[in-house]
Amino acid sequence: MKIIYILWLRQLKRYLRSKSRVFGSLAQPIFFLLALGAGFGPVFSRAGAGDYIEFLVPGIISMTIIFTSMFSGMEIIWDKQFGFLKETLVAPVSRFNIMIGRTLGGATIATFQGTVVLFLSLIAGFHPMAWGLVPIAISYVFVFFAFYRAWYGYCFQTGRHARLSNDYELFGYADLFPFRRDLPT
Amino acid sequence: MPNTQNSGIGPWVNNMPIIEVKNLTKKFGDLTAVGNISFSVPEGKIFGFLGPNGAGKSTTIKMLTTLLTPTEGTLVLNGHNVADDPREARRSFGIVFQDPSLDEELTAYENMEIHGVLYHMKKNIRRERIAQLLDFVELWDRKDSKVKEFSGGMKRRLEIARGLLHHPKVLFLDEPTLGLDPQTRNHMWEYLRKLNETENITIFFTTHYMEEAERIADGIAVIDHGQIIASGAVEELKQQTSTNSLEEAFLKLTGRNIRDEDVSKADAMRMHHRAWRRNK
Repeated sequence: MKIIYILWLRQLKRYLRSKSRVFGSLAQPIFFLLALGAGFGPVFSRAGAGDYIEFLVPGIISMTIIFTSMFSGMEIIWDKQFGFLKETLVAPVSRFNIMIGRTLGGATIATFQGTVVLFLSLIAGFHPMAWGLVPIAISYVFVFFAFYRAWYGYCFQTGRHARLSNDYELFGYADLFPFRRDLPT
Repeated sequence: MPNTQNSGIGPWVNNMPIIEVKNLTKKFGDLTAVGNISFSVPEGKIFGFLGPNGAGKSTTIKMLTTLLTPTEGTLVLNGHNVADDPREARRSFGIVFQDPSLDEELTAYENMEIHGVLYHMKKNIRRERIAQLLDFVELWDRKDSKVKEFSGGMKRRLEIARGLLHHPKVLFLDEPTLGLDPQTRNHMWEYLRKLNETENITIFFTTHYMEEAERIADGIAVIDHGQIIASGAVEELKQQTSTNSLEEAFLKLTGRNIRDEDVSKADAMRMHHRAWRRNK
């Protein structure tokens, strides 16, 4: 339990310390919200298809979470590159606990980012259909992406040939493709 | 009994062996990186494992530290068979890798803290030991600085301190002094000597600096082409080859030809990462 906690804490500390990562990963959703939301919104409502923001925001939030979790999944490659992975691999702890700790860390970060984007979109004029569903959605997202990320870790651990981040990105994008296609639904 | 001449038993052996390697073999496809080697290291000694590039040193260390599984042979570390009981074996050793393995975004103290938790140390013992070791390697006043602000020598010292945190019986050092200036190198060996004396830690190291090995090691094994070609105390090796220094003995044993070494995977990745960052 302590091992999971300390590795979770490590992920969070790393995240909070790189300010560029915190703000950088919020820039894209804000851009979508402003450029697409404000740009296409009037066209959309003119065509009689309702409020564009309501349609757009769930997609933006999902995308933020997917990319954040994917990048934190990719961190294990940087860990390998900078050697920290070895430090955890020679420690007398199970691989499973190491993976869970990292995964929960990444999922927490992704959920946090998603929540921030949700608040930003509230300012931009998004109204959730039912407020009561928001916590459920958040916990759903947390659990789902925890597993999603674990899967990535697993892919990496088993697929030892994926040594370079390029290989990993290919894996990642191939997998994301179906997600991206049905994003706006 | 195969390979009895490679067993590493010499006059410098008077304690119980803490590392015992028997008929160890590692093959990567057709390539035999380590071929049927046997040696043992007595407790409380400083043991140098020498060899030219690509001789099989790192492969052997990786097998001893559970990062690679041997193709054949047995490894016993502190009484635990590495293959059957990797977790107990892992508890018994600390390691300083050839490449840095610290989390650069975290502070020195946080790196130590993570290590302590990973090795199941109780909070008060952990805190006390971290303070003691950071003080020992003279990094206590920099404990709250991020590791990325440290110099190469400071990182190495921190890694040594981290490797010692959980009171290991054996400390593995894979080329610990590579790329350090003579001052830092001298200092580092002084620490290690002191540790070896005060805590009775067995030290197993590899190096390319022969004068270092000559000065510090109680016993030495020379490996080349995956075979141990000589072992014993420094004086014995010099006598065997009738040379005056370990460097000459080493050259006599392994020949004077230059070995090519592939760029290590880690280096390749690091280079790649730098290029990637520049292009972004």
